[in-house]
Amino acid sequence: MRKAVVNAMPEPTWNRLKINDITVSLPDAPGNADGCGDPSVTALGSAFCAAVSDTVSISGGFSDIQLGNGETKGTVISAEKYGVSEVTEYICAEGNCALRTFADIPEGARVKLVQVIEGSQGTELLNDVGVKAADGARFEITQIFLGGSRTVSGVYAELDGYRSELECRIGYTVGKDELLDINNIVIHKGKRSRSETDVKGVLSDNAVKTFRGTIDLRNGASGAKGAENEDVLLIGETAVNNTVPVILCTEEDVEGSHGASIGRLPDDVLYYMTARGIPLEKANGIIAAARLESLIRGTGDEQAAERALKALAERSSDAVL
Amino acid sequence: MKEKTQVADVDRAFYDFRFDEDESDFLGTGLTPEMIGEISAEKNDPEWMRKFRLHSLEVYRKLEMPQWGPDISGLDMDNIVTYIRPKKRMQSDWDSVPDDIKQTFEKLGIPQAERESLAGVGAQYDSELVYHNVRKEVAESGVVYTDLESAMHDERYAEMIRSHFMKLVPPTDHKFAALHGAVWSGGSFVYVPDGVRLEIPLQSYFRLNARSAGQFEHTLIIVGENAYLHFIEGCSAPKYYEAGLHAGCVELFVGRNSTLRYSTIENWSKNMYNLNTKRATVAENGRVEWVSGSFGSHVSYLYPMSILNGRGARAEFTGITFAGEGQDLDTGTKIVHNAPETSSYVNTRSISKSGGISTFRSSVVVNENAVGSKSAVSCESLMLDSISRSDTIPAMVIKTDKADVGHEARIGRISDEAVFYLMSRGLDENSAKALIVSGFADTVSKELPLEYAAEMNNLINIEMKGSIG
Repeated sequence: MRKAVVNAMPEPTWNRLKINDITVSLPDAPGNADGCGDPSVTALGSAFCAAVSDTVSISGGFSDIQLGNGETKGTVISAEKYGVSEVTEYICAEGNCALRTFADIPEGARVKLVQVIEGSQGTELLNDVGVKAADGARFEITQIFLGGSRTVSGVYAELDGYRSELECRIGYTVGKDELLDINNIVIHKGKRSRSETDVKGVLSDNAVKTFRGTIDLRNGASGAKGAENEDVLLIGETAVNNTVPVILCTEEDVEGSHGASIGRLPDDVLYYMTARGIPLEKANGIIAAARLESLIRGTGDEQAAERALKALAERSSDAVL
Repeated sequence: MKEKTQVADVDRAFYDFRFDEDESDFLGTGLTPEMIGEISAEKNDPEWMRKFRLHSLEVYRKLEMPQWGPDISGLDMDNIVTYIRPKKRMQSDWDSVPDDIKQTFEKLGIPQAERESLAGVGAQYDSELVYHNVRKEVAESGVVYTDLESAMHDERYAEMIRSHFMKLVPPTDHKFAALHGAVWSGGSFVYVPDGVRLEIPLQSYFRLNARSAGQFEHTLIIVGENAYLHFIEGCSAPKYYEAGLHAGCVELFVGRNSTLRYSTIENWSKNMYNLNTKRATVAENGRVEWVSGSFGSHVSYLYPMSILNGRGARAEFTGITFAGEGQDLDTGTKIVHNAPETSSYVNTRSISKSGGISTFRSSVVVNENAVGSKSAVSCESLMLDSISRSDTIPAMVIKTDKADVGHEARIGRISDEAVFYLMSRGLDENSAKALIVSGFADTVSKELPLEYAAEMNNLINIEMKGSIG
């Protein structure tokens, strides 16, 4: 098992905060350096990409992905010009395993990817999504994280084309002693490219979550707009939240924005629920689950939504949101 | 060339005048224990300080250069003069100050400001304070405002200095803090007793005149309980082709129910590396307010830090950074919430133009015991062309579920709608844009005393000259 530093921020900050990157164990499976798309289009890093093997190419549909200890899997999503590809990956992981998904989206095409990730106790899952978008191409991604001891995930989107677009929605619940580490990087190169990232999550117990979100507005991307927002609900006294929303900008004619809100449920909401006889802990749980439910139902994939809601309900009943 | 600003008669050369130095006053370059011993002897340091300097030098040698932030490879420490002997010891009578130094500060308006609006003034020229004075009624209230070295040798304050000096910023903090610990010279000591509210500000002005030199002043301020102080710091230097270094250190101790406002207008010349460290600790219901304008220097690493150690303590940071040609200014703030019901508010503006790089960097850490704490961070950046760069790198580390933290940031250009609105009311396009930039900086300038707000606006207008349209 090899150690590697992954999920590095494009521009690091103070080392003592310990949020610039994360060290993980790479699965032992034999790697294939160029077997899963462009290895430079990665959020986790080239060392991770080189460790991924067993790559398949798909154009749509539902994939039930079971990853065992030491296993890696690569998926290349193919799309036709002006076509639509919709892919759902329901990922159940055990042990130390890795998954990479790559798409080179041609002109005018739309790729929609839904990932639901369930990890078990003792799992270290590495999940990387790399995307390049040509003129008018659009990438929509929804990621739902439902546990796992250590989940390290990233989305790297290169919006190369004129009016290329990214819409990224992420929901997570992290509880017990779980760790979730996310590194999202959006590179705006195309004129009038657009990106919107919306992250919602709940942290309970001793959970640790890091979200690094970078919008990189490159010179030449005139008219580009990038927006990012994270809303974190903390319901564990010892949970730790790290948020680093970064904007890098070398073009005048652009708009970049980010916002973050981290905290408790508003007192009036809790008061309303406790006044109706709902205990405080349960009230927290109901509101927290409701946040993710709306995201899960919005995936548009009934099969995945049904399983995800069941898993969410199980976590709620275990008091691990 | 057509002027594209509303203030056309201000020349940056105003800050670039200089007088020749006698190089026999230079203690030499390089960093060795012998050199540190020489500085210590020159300053007649007490034994603990001599040992502290030597220990700091050891730490300096062990620590690495920062692995993040702007490039400082152009800074050759072997060529930096760390200490320049003063021509004359510090004076409290302005007429006794050497003529060339007097002319320098008169050009910068320091004596006039003292007469008109300040409770006391300190002026440092190269390595040493050359003038320090405090109004009689202020001194009678028990306020101490003097140079740090005099205070260190005064038995009334010696123990206070020993127990506070580099306790907030230890030499192990980073490489340039260690350098500061080894070669520090000059700077001010302020003590405000319990219950004293000083309604008019104190000011220290730092001027680095010498070529290839470093300035390493140390400012130590202790504010007792139920007290108030506004301290203003100004910095400038003439321009040379050789790199200069400013690695000062500011340590602020704010007592219970007290407020300390610390305002800085920094206008180092564009050959300077400004690697300054500023830190405050705030006790119960105390408050620290930083107001910071960064306009000069070639490279800056500047992040005033507030450690909120008492229940109900509060920090505010208001800053503006203007990065022009050849400048890489990495500025921001750090806040640590270490006690319940603490709060912090950060509001910054940055402007990049003509290839300048402006980076806003911050960290807000809310520790486990800081229940009921609140923090809000807002930063806005304006890009005036596409050869410049503007980055925001804020970090939030939250370790309790009983805190509320908010952050928002925006990067963009001058709004076409705003320009159109102003033009529809009779302004030409360039005037409209200049007005918008001034308005963008208004959030900071309104926090400054009037004369400093005027200086800041002048600096913006100098920078804006010929830049837009």
